[in-house]
Amino acid sequence: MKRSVVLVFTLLALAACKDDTPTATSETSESGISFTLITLPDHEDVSIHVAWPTDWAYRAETNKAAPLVGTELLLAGGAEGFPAGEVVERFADLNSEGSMYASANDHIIGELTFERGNLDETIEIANAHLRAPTLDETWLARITDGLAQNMAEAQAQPAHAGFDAVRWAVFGEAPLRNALSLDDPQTFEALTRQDIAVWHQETFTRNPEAIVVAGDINADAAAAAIDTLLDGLPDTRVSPTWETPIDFSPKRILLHQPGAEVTNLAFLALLPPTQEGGEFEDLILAHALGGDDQSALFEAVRTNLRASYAFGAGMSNYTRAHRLLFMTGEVEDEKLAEAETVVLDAYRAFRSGALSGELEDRKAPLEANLSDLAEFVVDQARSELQSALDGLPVGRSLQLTDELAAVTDSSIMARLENDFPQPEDFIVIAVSPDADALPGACVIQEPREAASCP
Amino acid sequence: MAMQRTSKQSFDMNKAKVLLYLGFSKVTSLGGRGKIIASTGLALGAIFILFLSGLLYKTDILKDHRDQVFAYVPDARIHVKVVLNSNEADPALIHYVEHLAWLNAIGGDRDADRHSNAWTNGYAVGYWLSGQPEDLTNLLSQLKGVFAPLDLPEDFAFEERDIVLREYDFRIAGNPVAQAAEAMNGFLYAGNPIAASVIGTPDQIAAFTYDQAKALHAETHRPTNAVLVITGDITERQLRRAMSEAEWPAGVPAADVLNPPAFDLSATDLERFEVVNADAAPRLIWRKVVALPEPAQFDLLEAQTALLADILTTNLPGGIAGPLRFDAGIARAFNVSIWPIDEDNIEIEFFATPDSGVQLAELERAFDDTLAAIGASGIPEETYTRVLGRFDGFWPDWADKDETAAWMADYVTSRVSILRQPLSERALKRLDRELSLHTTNALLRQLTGEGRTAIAYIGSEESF
Repeated sequence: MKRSVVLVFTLLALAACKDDTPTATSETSESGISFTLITLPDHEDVSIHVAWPTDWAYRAETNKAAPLVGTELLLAGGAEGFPAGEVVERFADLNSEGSMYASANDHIIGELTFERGNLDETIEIANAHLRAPTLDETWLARITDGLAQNMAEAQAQPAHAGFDAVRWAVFGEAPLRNALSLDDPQTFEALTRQDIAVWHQETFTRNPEAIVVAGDINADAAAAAIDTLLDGLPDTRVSPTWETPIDFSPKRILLHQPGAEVTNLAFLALLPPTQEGGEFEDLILAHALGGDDQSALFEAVRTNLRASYAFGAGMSNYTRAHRLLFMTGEVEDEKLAEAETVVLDAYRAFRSGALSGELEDRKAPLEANLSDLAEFVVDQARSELQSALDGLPVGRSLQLTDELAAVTDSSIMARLENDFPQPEDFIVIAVSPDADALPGACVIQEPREAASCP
Repeated sequence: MAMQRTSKQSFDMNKAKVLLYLGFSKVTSLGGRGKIIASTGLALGAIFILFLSGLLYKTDILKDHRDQVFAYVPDARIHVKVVLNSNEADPALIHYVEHLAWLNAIGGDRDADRHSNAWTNGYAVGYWLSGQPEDLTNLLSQLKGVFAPLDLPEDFAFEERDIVLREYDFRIAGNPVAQAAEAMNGFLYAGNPIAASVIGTPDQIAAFTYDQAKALHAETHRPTNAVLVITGDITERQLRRAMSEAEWPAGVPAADVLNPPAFDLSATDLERFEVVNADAAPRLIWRKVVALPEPAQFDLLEAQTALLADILTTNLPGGIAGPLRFDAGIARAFNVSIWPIDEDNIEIEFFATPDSGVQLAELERAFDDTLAAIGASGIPEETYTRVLGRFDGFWPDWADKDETAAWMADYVTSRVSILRQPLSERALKRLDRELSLHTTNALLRQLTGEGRTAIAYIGSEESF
């Protein structure tokens, strides 16, 4: 009995000695590929996130549907040695997950998550799909057709059409507009396998801009996994040019859709890019502005004006450099003009006043969220990867709690005063069945006409 | 430490009816983690309380540069929820009552850290508040206001009907799938309370009177008709003290409240619905409700039906992905869901988009033929074993206390929301032993037999 007790204490002591604090290190693989390793002790899962830079969306000669269709085709269409219908079942057996998407039109991001014990086979399958995807014509047609139908349905929705119109106003004929909206009629029809092949060839190289590996995996194993994952990809380097003309001058636009069943109202203006800091202030402010039933916009538009079920605020990105603050919601058509005034008045008051209640109350949910971020391997890796793409220091995703703690009433007020747009900076877009519902607005019949609105 | 990959986990419950929230529809994050589950089914005083310690809702990550709406919803700390049996009342009217009762009790000024919302489904109506653990007494005091008689200015109450109409616009107008679902529910569940629309029609909504709402509120919003669910990092002692200080009213044992209306399947029949929308992507929705020869425990039935759906979704022998998607170009994408309506009835839904050049009628025939063939031959044992091996994720890792606590919090809340008694953790842990190929094939045969079928075509008429 005594020996058992000693053994138990020894085990407890060993357990206590084990350091389970997440750490971040910069590593380089044997073949010279740099990556960030976020060590998350005791995780069974490993998540690898890779960001390949691309300026496909900014170039005139490219088919803008290629990244959207291509990312699906790579994942679903099979690869050398792995027929589509078989590999999907094998991946499910392994409990492995893969996804791929375009981020802010400047990177293609691939995410691979798997149990540590299934690393070898998962990496082998993923490498084949990156290196030698089948790009099968049947799957290409199937995916293209489906996405074209989905986009056509979405574009018929008033809110979606309104945001399309804003992009016409902001970007005009610049290539980036169609990359964001995919509303040029021939985009999907003109897409060919060759477009996908070219996009694939130039995008997926051995030289991504950033790689993050998160999980309980040592540096050598992670490095070997990276080398195998990117094995056989071209050793070329992309020098993307992320420049586009942009005109965010304020406008008031009404898109007249006689058949619209609902009326939608939105306001959009620029915020500084996330790489310049202030993200936590923005999160707190956007939530206070239009995040729930106690927000300024809910109070103004629903509770007082009684014009909307849900009118809120949020943030999004056209590009990494062009970040948006938006306020939007559906409104009763007869109250559209009044709602525009009420929203701007509410925003003006919000911007010039202090946050209601205690700042600590508003920070508490974020603190709770951040306190366990390291328990979610995918989220931790995503956060670190996006920080890396913003040029922030390695391990920034492990310092978010400290960043939040540094937020003060003063920093909140400074953010409002210095970085949040003035009320008159917003582009206002309404979509209504009534052409006269927003007096003085530039009335258009099609989204593309917004490019000509003064 | 919880072993979770992503915060975006969902607890897919109550598929029969849409849950309508009073406030912003962004409040949907059900991913979770927690600390230690203290107890479930803790009876305090005369009202039944479901108490879970340690739930913290996980929300989305901070960084997201995709060109999409970034819906950030901070949700943490303690959640106080009350669920009321709607007593088979018209769900559209009770939904209007929900709006008014929330405004009467909770709307208006609150501390900035107290979040709140309300919802209605085909069985019940619910309200919740969240805040810091030390505010529990105040949260309970405010939440009990839903029992107080409606005392809103009449004009304001009438205006709230317009807000409900805006909610109709938000959810149904221009949404062909929602429109099809409303119509299919009415047919599939004919003769049962859940057949009625929770949002109602614009004409119904416009006809509601404040007197109707006050009468229904008085009938349903009573402590004896309520179940309180607390999730958060508090102790049983703290909860007792807070309830006493808040003077939470006495109720009845939850068994009297958590009692969903019986479901009686109407006669075998088939109805077709067409939602003609030239802009809509073509879609087929095929749903069928069948009665079981013998009743089965609800939670077990939910697991059995989910496993069968997983099998049917595969490209393995016994799955439909081969015949429809991989071996032939018939369905571009599809999803199969199967779930229990109650202990005696289950429902299957096949939701699919056709491949290029395939008419919806052709897709429907292919699905019919494939399901019938699989039903006749049965699920092969090799396929069953292989998919069962992937089924671990249906339940939490019971050895992981954090993950289990979070899962149980979601589970209990979801069960109570459909007026069902949650099982204990111990009972849930035993369910997997009762899964079998025999039962799976029996359910499959049932689904290919007699039942009530609703089929919806969505899209342009040319696609039908």
